[in-house]
Amino acid sequence: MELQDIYYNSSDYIETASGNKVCRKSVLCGSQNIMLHGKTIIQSDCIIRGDLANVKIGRHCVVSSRAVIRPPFKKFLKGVAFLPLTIGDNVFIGEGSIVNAASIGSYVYIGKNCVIGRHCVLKDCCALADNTFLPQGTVVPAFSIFSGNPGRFIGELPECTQTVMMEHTKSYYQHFKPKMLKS
Amino acid sequence: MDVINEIFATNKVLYQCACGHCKPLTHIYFCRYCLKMRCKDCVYHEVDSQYCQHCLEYIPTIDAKLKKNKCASCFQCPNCMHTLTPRTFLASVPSETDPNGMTTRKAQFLLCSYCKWSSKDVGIPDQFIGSGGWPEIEAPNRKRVEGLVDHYRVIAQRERMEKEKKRINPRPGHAIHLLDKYGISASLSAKLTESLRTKAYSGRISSNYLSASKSLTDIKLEPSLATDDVEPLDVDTFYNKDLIESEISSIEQRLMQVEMQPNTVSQFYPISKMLYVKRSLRCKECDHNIIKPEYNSSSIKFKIQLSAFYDIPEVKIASTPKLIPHKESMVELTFKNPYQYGMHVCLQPLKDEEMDESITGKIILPKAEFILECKDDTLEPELDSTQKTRYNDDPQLITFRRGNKIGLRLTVIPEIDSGRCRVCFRLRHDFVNSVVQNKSTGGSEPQVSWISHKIYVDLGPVIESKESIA
Repeated sequence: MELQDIYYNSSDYIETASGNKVCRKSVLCGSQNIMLHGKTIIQSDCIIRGDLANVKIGRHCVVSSRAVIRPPFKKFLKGVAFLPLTIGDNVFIGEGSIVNAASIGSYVYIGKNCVIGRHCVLKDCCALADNTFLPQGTVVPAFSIFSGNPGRFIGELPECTQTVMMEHTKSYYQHFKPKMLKS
Repeated sequence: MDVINEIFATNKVLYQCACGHCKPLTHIYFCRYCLKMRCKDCVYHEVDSQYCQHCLEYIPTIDAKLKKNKCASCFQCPNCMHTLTPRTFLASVPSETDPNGMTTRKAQFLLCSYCKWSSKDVGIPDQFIGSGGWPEIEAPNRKRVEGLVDHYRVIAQRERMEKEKKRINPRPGHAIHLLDKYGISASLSAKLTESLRTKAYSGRISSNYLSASKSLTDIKLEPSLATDDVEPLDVDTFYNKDLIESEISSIEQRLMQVEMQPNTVSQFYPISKMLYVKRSLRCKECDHNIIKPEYNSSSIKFKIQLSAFYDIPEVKIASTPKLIPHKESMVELTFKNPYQYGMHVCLQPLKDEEMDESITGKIILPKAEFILECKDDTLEPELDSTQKTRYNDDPQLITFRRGNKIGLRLTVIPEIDSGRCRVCFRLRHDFVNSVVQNKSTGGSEPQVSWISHKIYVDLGPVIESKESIA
């Protein structure tokens, strides 16, 4: 099924020169530490905690509404330190998911209401089903689908995942259109 | 899971593989050598490399076999199956130099960060760093099972040799090696030396056969004995004792450790993580590789990748109207060319013998052939405005043309009163083979061939008419 058009209020979104679309109703803490590489959509009620550590998000990513992106912390002998969080290109993060991972590769699909614990590593081309909980330190290898609580390997993705994910996020960006105002 | 399936393996549009199974396009391969669709059910699967899912370390096949396909350094929690993390702490131990004094040494225990089960819970001693890995417990019946495996391996070998012996009549004592030694075999005809060699080979088999039968006697295996003694069943454990749920393991936990099958929580032991494999696939007909991954476990690149997704036009449903039984409705389908060459595509109805029961609707197909442009990553599809005028498209049929993608408006008549409307057609297109060169033209021009695929499209449920509900 082709994606259907998704309309947004053009007054709610800011479009940057590199094509990022960021909702005014999202919370971007420490915006000087947040880097979006272009054509990334950040929807309403998202929270990105750039005030804790650097957050890098690649090209053609989608951060759905109510998602939280928060760099992980590590305990040391003297207090705690926050580590930077990097997200690759063409990554889809579903509604209400909480991302606490150390790194997320490219072409990753994260379903709705997932919780990704501290220092998780999601490799390129992997997927999390809806409502998955990954305890801290989980590694999700390439071409695998994780699901459940705690998240476990349940299946494999096809070999052409890279292209499928690339097309999906690109067409999401193309179908994410401003609402035409009635004159 | 549904959304993942919708993106990666939609069951709305299915392609029929050469073996007859219907699969989504992402799960189908296209062999460029025999120009046929293949799926996982009709190709050879080969283990390419093994790796651990947690540490992502590549483990060579020989090492993996020695370690029973388990990772040496990663363990799973026997309680919740999450990966255990080693926790390091400073333990005080009696000093080696001073018999009364104590020193500190770094020690480790395993802890599950999810359910907080730890190796201390079941009394596994802490390991000092540098003292080697965690001790493995020996499964009961291990020796017996290994003995039986060895025994049957010898028997299988013997049977195979007997079969070969029957096939080739043995006549040992041929002097082919002498012919080779003095260079006479080169002057003889190839056919003659070949037959001499087979005879010599069969002679060698018979000598091997002797050694095999010998080794069977070497393995001393006690045959199993049936006994009349049966352990009396302790009824008390099942009925009269109070069951403490927190002390008994679940069936899932027992099955995770097939060798040990702990009945109680106190028998838990860290489970070594099983290795996962990267597979390469091979066409059964032409023996060419269809998929060959790279050795690096986290690499997403392939040495060879012949997914149909990169060669065959992709059909998607753009919009479906309300489907009323036995009435015409317009459906919009999109066709996309993922290939580096342009394609001529035409849609054909099925022949009567190809129809099956799952088809519940009729689709009226255009007779005209249309052109799909090649895939061009450098081109922004929205910017190319000359495309519309370049092709003389019928606006009644073709709704849009954007780069390598077009939309087609087609008429569908559902032939059922309730249920899902499923239509089927054949997609015929030309395929410029860049791998296999045309031999007749001297190998310089790529070979062009026409191929066709049977495609099932599930358009969704029909709207039941009011009379049928009443």
